[in-house]
Amino acid sequence: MPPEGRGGGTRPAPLFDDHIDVDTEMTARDVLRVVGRCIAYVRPHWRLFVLKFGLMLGTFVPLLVAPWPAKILVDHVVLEHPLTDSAVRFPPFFMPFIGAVEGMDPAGLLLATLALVLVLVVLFGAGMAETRDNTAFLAQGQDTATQSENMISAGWSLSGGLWGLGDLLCNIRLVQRVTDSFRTHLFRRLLRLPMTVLDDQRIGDGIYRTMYDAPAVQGICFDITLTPVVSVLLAAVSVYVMEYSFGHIVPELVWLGVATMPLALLLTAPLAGLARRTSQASRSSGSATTNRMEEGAAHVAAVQSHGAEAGERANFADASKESFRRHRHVVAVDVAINLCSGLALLVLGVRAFVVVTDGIVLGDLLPGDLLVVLGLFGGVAAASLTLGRLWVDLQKNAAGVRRVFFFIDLPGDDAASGRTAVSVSSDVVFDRVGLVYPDGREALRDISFEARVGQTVALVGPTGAGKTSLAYMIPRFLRPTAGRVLFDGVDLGELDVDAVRAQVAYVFQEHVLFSQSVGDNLRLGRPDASDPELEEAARVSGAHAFVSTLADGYGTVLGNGGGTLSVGQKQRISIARGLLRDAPILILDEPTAALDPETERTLVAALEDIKRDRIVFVIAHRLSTIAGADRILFMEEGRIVEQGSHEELMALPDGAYRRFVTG
Amino acid sequence: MAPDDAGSRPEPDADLKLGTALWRTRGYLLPQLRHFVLYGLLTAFTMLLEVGAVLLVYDLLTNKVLQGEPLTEFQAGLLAVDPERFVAVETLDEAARLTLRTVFLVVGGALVAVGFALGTVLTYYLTWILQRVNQDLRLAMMDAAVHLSLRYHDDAPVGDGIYRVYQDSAMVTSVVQNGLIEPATALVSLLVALATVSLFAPWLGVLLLIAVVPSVVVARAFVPRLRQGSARARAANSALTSHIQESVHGARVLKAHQAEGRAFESFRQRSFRALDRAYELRRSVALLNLAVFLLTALAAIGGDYLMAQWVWAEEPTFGYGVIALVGFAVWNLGAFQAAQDRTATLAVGSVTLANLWSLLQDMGVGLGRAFFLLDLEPEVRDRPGAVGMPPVERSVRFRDVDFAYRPGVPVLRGVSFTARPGTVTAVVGVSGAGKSTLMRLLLRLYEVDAGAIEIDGVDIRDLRVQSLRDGIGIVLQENALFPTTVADNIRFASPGATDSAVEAAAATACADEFVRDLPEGYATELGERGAKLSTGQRQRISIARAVVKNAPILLLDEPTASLDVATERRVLGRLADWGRDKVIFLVTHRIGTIRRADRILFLEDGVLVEEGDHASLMERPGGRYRAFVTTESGDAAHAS
Repeated sequence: MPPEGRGGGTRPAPLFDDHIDVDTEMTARDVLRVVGRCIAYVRPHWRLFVLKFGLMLGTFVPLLVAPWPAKILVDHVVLEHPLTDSAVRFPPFFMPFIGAVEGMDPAGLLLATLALVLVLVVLFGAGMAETRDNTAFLAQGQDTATQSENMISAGWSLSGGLWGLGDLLCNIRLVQRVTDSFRTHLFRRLLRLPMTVLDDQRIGDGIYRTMYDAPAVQGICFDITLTPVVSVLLAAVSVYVMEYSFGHIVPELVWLGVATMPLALLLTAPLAGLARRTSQASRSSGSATTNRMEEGAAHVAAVQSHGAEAGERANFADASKESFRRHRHVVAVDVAINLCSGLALLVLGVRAFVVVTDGIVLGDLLPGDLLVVLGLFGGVAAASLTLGRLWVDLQKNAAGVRRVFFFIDLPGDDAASGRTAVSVSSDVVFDRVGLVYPDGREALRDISFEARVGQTVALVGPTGAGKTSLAYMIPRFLRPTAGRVLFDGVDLGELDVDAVRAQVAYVFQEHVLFSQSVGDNLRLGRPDASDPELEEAARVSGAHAFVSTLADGYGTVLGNGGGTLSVGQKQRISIARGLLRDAPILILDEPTAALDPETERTLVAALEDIKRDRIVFVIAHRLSTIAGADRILFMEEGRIVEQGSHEELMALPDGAYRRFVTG
Repeated sequence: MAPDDAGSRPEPDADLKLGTALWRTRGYLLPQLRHFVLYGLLTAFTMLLEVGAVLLVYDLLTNKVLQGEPLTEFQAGLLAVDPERFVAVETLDEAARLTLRTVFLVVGGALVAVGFALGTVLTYYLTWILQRVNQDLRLAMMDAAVHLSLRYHDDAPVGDGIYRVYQDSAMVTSVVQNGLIEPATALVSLLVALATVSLFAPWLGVLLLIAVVPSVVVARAFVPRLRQGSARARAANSALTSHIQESVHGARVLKAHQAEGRAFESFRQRSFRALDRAYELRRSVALLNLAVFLLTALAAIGGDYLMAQWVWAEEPTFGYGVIALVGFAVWNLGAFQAAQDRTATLAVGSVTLANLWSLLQDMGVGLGRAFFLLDLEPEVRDRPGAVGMPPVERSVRFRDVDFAYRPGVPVLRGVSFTARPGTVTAVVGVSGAGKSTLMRLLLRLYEVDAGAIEIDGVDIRDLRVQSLRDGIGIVLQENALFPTTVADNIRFASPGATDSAVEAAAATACADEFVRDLPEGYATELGERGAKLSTGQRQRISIARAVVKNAPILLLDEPTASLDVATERRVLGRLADWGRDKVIFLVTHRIGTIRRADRILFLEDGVLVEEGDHASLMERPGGRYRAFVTTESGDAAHAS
């Protein structure tokens, strides 16, 4: 999806924008679809989900029971009204207690009620006049990233006490598991991104999406499973009690409580789209900030060498400032939404208050009823308010989740799978292969050649001629847009990508080492290689000598990206890694660029031995590396202009290869 | 890629005492003092509104509206109602009670409206202030990170730095909130509640105070658990971040070696570990909260019992002289409910404080990790009285330079040589001989262990680092390109360079020819790590970068390794023309390039074994350089 065609949008400054994920707008339908997909991530954890559900149902006990002891304390203990004197009917679930205390004097009633309160407090942390939600949030910063860090392990319970503790811990576990499933899925897809996307994919962005966008999934999962159930149940139970106990006196209260939801929905819904867009903007600038940080840290040697510290700091400062600014927009929208739903509550709450106090003044209700009624009304209103905000919350979380699904949905390397049984025993054939990049640039045209087992094929030509693109087609890092590549006569398009790659060992020009031991780095492509095989590969590539001098030899753990190894040393480890993989096709991209002549000579000599049962492709500039090849493909501007052995090509009068190597 | 908690090296400073860590944040908080003060005043105002109005309104509702008790003279005067109807009666009539309800609604409504409006503004305001605080700390950390010696970065995982700058630094925003504002608010409302309760009955106050003591003991006992939990959770998340960074960075290598499965498995384990650690920490927090809640709630229940007795006995309240103003001369329903409300506030307040205590432990650990980065002494920094870079008119000189990355493993030993303006010095030797290290020392990426490097006779340690690096153009072996435009990449080390200077430099580096063919020329954005260009093209961008800087010293570390012979020859030819008055160092393996140098330094195991021009070195029988060249004969043959 090219960004050019999309005019008229209000795309912010390119500095803070993504290169791949550019179409971030969502319709209501997109949001709903995303929401549906999120549910799939709860399914594997259904046991935990059911447990949480059960524990959550239990938290209704204190919500239902707690107002009543409070009323008894006020009306029947302090004011000493007889229990039978109450115009209000106690709800059926509370009748056992009433039955037990029937006929007690106020002192006995006080003790019995306080005993009940004690039980409620220990079990549910409720029964006091004021309780609060039980959550497990730690300190967080003022931007989306740090707040997401909290969301990964978020949890809440409607009650406190022992039950609340269990409910809370179960909730945290459930949230973690769901988030884990989601981010693990994303990470697996990130590793399978096709080469062309990897070129454009920024590392900081990958970190941001995995660590800070993925947690949004739990918000969605709970918003459409637990939250509505909790809210509706809460409201229904409160309405039931209200109706049962007060319905004959103040029926209006029930309607007031229920009316909170549509009113809140009505007032906040217009802000939902805004909430999503500000969230998206905040997240994308967060990604940009992470990118800046990652680049600054990863390239610190270059930054320092060029004396560019100040510039790097300024770049980071800009990105960070912008991400803070955009997060403030999120806060502003949030505040506005709270204001709107608060307004809904206020209007209806005042009306409820008037209705109840009317009842008390007129003598229909007792003073203690105010607490009960307001408590119950609060229950209905809070539940309705949550439901009223549901759409806003879904939209907001959808912004984060969409960013994760974007990469999950991007066609990966394993999109098409086919035959898995393949082994190269005779040849690799390029049959009129062409390659045009998505942006229209033509990289390769009409490439045809054949390479047999036992041969070394050298790809030679000026930089930018398409040598690496051609080599990328063999392990299917790139797919031809015209023509075919065949292993033993089988079109690679019909084969499973993994099966194709198992046939190829590819040594890149840039040397990427991981911060693990030298041995583990070497075994990357073949974890079960034996120690003698390891040493043999290292000897051939000239790595053994210096690895032996390291503190722990092959067990030495390398620092960041190889630590203090020289580029030549890293290159030799990379080559050894490719050799150890022991695949029928070996591709070396500029293997000798950073090698000293002696190491190069050893390597070139070793290739003679290696190629016996393999096909070796070498991309090189050095004549000493090229000259011994069985076949040289000389490339210019995406085409093979000459092919043959060194002698054959040198014999061509005024040949392009000849001109090239002699300068 | 075995998962472990050691996402970072041992760091004694993560154990920074809580008080010290919080105190150290003042440098970032004080600059926003004005805003904090304003915010504090506005908050205090809203709190006063609340506290002041509560007693008045509470009595009005519970005793007057709901029960019809008459107003006091004072209240009637305050509300400007007719004393005949409202004070001098046995009970209030219905109409009067409804009037008072209207008063309650108006006063209450006004309070809610003011509180809401102020609260809204204050939320946004506080966010703004705290973000400024965090931005300052982030920048200080980033600044420290980019200035830290490579000795640190060689070992420090990139993801760890990201985690510190992002997550650990964010704790600074909570210092004011959780270390100052919220504890103060909670403490004040707790004390107000305690004072109010004590006014009703001092023994009730004592009872509640007693419950606080074991709470404090429990909270203290939890400290080691909380701190360790926090440190582990942060280390585990930092390790996870590092793993993602490394995996995405090396994705193509993982792909080529079909190691995605193992990288994924390793991610899964780390992810799980990070979540487990986070869970354990939160469990500790929840347990502490529960313990404190139960302790104070028990005291509150005891209070309920006592109060009920007092109401029955119609005992006078302790502070009736004061409270009489608002109607609670004796224990009645209003007094019972007001006091009960305060005890509940107390219980909730204690839990709030316990929770804040846990958060502070976590923050202390986070801040410790943030300050750890700030506290690392950059090995290379300006000495007092450091001067600017001399013009490089005479020489660049190495005098008996020794250097080791790790003690006991020398990389350079006793290296001495002199290079003059207008000459090209080639540094030659097998890989690992110390060639690149030589260049890094000249840039002061590391300091020499012994000996000195002098420019025009001035020790470079007496120069300002920035000035020294401004005076050196460099082409690195590993071309670090950034995902910005081609022009910005060329301008990387000289941000002020004009477009024409950029294009001229690109022409010198033979980059102009392919840049013009890119879709948007110099404005084309490069992918991550500049991956859309071939290595040879990226190398030429790097060269242009050094050329546009136009510094008196030029370091070329394998500048042309990925160029074909013809391009290399053109690039080097133009560079030679361009750099006639400069000191040029060239690290390379290519004999064709080396032989044209004015002077060749041949390094072996960190020792400068031979020095001279190509011809003289080749004449040395049994010479090391000569042997080296002979192996490279293939290239030598055609590169003359």
